[in-house]
Amino acid sequence: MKVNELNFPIILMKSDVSYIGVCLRRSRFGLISKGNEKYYSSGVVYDSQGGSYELKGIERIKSAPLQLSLLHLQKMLIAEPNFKYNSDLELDEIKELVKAHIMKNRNYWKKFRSVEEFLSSVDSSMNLVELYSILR
Amino acid sequence: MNNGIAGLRKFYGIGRNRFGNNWSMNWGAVRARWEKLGYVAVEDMHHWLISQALMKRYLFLKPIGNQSWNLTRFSSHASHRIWAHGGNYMGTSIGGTEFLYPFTSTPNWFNFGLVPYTAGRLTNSNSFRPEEHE
Repeated sequence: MKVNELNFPIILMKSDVSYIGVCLRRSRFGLISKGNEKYYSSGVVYDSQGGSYELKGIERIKSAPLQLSLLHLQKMLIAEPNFKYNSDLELDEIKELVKAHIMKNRNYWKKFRSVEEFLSSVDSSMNLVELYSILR
Repeated sequence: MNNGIAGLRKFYGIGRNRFGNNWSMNWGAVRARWEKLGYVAVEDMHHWLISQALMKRYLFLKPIGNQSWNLTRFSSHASHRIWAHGGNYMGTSIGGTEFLYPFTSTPNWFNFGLVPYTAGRLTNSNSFRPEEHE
């Protein structure tokens, strides 16, 4: 499947990364600095319609548009990962996954706000877009 | 002894603030108190001079470092990670952010003081100085 089929914004959760990546626009998905190709090789993407997709390695890497390179003061690349559709999840199920990730990496998250505050914000979010905006 | 004093204070309501008795100087507690007062929006705050790691090491710095003078706002977690900590967010990092730190991650009162000073020095070094030509 292709990145065009994802409903943005999306989040990308990786078990070995303490933060949760939030990508608002399709044009920014896969955007990487040289040497960071590994980031998109694994992890699980949750889109704003509740779809979950597992990343299965990088299919190809191409040059990013010039304006993005200028904006980031370096030559930027776009990684195109392979996706595998997992399942559609409900809002509450994604909330539980996000909360579990925050609890697992609480030492990281408590630097920004108290973990309890994060968890209550996650609980009170009414839809996935609102939930993802908290993590941004 | 401390429990006794705390118990008496609690019983008589001495030293009780509007948030209960929470006078903790931990960042989470300070931020929660500020949010109740409407001072902090849901944004990333950066400890620009006294870092959280330093406060963790030297506890006496907490009441000094967890104050507004030591905090700068970032609109997103991504910009906070990249610009203030020189880190990587979703595979994107920018080299040399440490050199830009005084301009990207310090508060305006520091920034506005620093930029004219630095710019002034650079300009003066290249500009025509009448006194040297008299």
